[in-house]
Amino acid sequence: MGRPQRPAKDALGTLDLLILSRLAQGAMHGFGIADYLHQVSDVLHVEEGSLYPALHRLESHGFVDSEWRTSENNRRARFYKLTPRGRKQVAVEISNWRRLVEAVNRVIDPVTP
Amino acid sequence: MVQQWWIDIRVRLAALFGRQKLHARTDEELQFHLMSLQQRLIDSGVPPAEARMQARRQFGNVALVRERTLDSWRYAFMETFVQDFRYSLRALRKRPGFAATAILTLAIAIGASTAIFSVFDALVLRPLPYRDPEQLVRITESYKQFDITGMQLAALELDDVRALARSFSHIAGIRRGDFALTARGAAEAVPGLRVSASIFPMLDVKPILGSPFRTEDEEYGKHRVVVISEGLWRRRFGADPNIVGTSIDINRESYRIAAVSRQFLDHIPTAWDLWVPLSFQPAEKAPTTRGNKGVDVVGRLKPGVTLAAATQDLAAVTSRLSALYPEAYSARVGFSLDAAALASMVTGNLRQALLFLLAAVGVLMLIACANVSNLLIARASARRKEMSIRAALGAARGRVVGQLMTESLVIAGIAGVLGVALASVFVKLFELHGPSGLVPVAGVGINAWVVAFAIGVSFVASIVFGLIPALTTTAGLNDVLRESARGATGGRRRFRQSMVALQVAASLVLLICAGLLTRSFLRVQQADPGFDASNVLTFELLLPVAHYGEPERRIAFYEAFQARLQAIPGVVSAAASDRIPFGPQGGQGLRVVGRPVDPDAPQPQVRPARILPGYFESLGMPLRRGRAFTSGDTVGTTPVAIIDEAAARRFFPDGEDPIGSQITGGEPGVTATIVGVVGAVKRRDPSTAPEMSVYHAATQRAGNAMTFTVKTATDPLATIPAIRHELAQLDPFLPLTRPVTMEQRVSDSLARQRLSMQLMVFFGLAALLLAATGLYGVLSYVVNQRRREVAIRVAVGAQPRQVIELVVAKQGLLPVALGIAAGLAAAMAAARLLAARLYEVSPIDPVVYASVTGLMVLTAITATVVPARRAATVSPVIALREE
Repeated sequence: MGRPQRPAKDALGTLDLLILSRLAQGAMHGFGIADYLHQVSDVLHVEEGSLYPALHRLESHGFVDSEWRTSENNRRARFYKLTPRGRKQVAVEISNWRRLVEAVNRVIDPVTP
Repeated sequence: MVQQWWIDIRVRLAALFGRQKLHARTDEELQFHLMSLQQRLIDSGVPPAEARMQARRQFGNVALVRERTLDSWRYAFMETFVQDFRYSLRALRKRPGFAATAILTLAIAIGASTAIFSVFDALVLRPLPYRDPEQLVRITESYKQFDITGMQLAALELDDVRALARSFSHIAGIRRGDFALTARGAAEAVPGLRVSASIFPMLDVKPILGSPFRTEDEEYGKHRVVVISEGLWRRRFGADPNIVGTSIDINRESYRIAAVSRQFLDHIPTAWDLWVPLSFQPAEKAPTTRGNKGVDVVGRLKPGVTLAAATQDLAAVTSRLSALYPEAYSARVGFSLDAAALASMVTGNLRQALLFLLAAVGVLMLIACANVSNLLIARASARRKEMSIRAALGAARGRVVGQLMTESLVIAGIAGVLGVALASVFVKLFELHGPSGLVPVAGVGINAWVVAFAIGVSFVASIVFGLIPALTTTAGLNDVLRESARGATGGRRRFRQSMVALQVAASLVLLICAGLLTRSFLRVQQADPGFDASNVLTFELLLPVAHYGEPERRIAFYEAFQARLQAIPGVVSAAASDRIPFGPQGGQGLRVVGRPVDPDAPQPQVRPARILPGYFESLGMPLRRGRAFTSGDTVGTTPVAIIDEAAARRFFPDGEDPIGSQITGGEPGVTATIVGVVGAVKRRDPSTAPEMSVYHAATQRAGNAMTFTVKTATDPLATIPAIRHELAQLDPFLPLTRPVTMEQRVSDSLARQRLSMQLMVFFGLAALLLAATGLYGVLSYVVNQRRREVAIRVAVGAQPRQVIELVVAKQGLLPVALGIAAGLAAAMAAARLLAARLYEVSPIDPVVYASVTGLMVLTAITATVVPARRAATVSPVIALREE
């Protein structure tokens, strides 16, 4: 169509995938998700704020849903949780990942003694 | 568990309409994150000022993050709809022929539906343009013994109801009046009403100037005040701002102008020019006048009072009146007062006619949708490659369906806008050129409800015509590239054929209904009304009581005027009656003197008329027995009467000679001797049997109003100037009211029937045209799809005739035949609903069914000719090389 294409709706980045896998364990607010990301990876090593565009994009695509709740320190916080579509997507991404890992393993198996 | 579709809708709505909320939410979220970071740093011992700086550094550029976060929503909305929308517009622009056909087809159907709905909306859904219209009721009386319901009240009864009924906040009487304006300029007859002063608060009428008259003005003698209409004020008084308080002459009496008001009570449907107080002379309220009905009574229910409660209240009033005046309301007559919603009176029998028309435009809409559906399918097969490429590139089927549906929505949306414009043109044309006085067009127009209707219709239509093509074309998309599929799949071909069958069936139903109505209308038009309406001019004349109080003066005037009329060159004969056919009618109970009357049997009602000598001649009514009235029947001679054949048959069933018998009831308080029998005439409706009539001599007793009937040798309208001249010679202040030909009067009485017939014919022909286009489209498509097959057949020696049979007979005529069969069955069912509106035509009239079917077959054959010829002339060389 001659204009820059936006990424397809179902092509998720690493950040998206990590967010979804955190939410698979239960609802959480942005600050909590950032904490989790710090523990498991360094995707947020520069700016924590870049988490929010990703969260809102996931919500606008119907992967997550959000609502106001009270945080552990008694303040109003926006909590995110998976929608049915998000849940399905996590499963798909995980199996995709496993398949990729297996394929890579098959490739490197012969060279490792 | 929350459903995904609900989440998706919420997300769309939030992205579309919740911008402000989204901003606030984002701000609060980011703030929460910053504060939490800061708090953690402080808790770990960092000084507050330092903690704030560090938190910000860790978080990043807050403004930028906010911007990008909000952007991700815009993108969500953009991607789904705006993008599809842009793409649709581009796709439509690429095929202007397709777009124009689809849009025009739909626009005509939407325009027709919207126009009919706007009438329906004004007349049926919102018939009364007043505050709390459901509180407005009409109070009537009935005499069950005589099978009379919905009768007006007498003046005394209006007073009684006002005094005794408790359910109403206002009760007002209304009476039509005849008014001649004689001030400032030529004499002019204007339509007006006599109304109780309470009508103004009841309907919330606030005058533009001045204030309405009050209840005190209803007292006879004080009643010469008038509220004039805005129209009259502008037309006759040049919108004079100081008009209130001045006087005008009405019927030669001076009235003080109290106010200028907008129209009200125009649902009848007439636009009134003035309103004067409803007052009665003392004689009009004498105890014996309880039989003189003639006042329409409307009331407004008190807040919270139901119609049922009001009916009970009126029943109490009924029994009170029966107890007070046993001689007027004997138990035998079954007298009672009733209340009915005023709206139902306005809507009346229009509701059913309009519902029928709405159903008809619904069918037209369906045909249009089927047509566009077919166009879409044809186009979609051309776009299948494009679709399959999109599918191969990763677009989900739902996404492609969404894209196709957006295109349908765009088509329907443009058609909807055009349709509303068309509807307002239709309504305007109807207002300018349609029959007047048929429906109160003042309230008809394109309002918010009508636009909402059009939007709804367009939206539903887009789903109706778009969904099946979208689903069928996207089914099995992935196979397309693999096996360069050729030709329509069986499913789609069947769908297209069933669309053709549906169109044929639906248009057949419309055409048959139109045919039945047309045939019935022609029958009604040809029905013999019992008189000769050709070359007869009618006009009304009102003699003001102020100058023509004595009966002798009125009779002398009528006779002198009649003599002058007859002297006009070209006038064959001239006479007058106070009630002519196809004008307002009265009703009287008639009985023959000397015959026992069964008090329990219904009293036969006859239509009375006072006529001048020569009346039967002017209308070509045959005298069957005895004599007609002559100028020798005067005030001094024995009262005489003439009955018509219908009355003669009813009252003298055994072949007795009515002549010489005496009758009472036809003329109040008079016993008259029958001197003749005349042919019966239809007085209101050419499609019903004549009602019984009794005629009295206007030279013996005459009222103030007469309608003249002037039979001329040539064009009756050409004599109007001469008639005006003669009238001015006799009395320059008398206006000539409503000069119309008798033929026009008869024709006007059929205006509503004619209009619904014409609309049905229009819808039917439009449906036929659409069905023909649909058939043509399908066949052209089939021929195109099967060019290769046909080419091979031709190459191996098939004759053109065989090819035509193959393409046309199976693809074209089979669905037509199925459609005709289904259409005939459906038409028979639909026509049964129509039966009540048909005159001397059976709902399964074979002529109509046969000719409409013939027309359909002929149209179908015409629509197949071009594609068939194209199939027969396929050149095998060219067709096979194309692939």
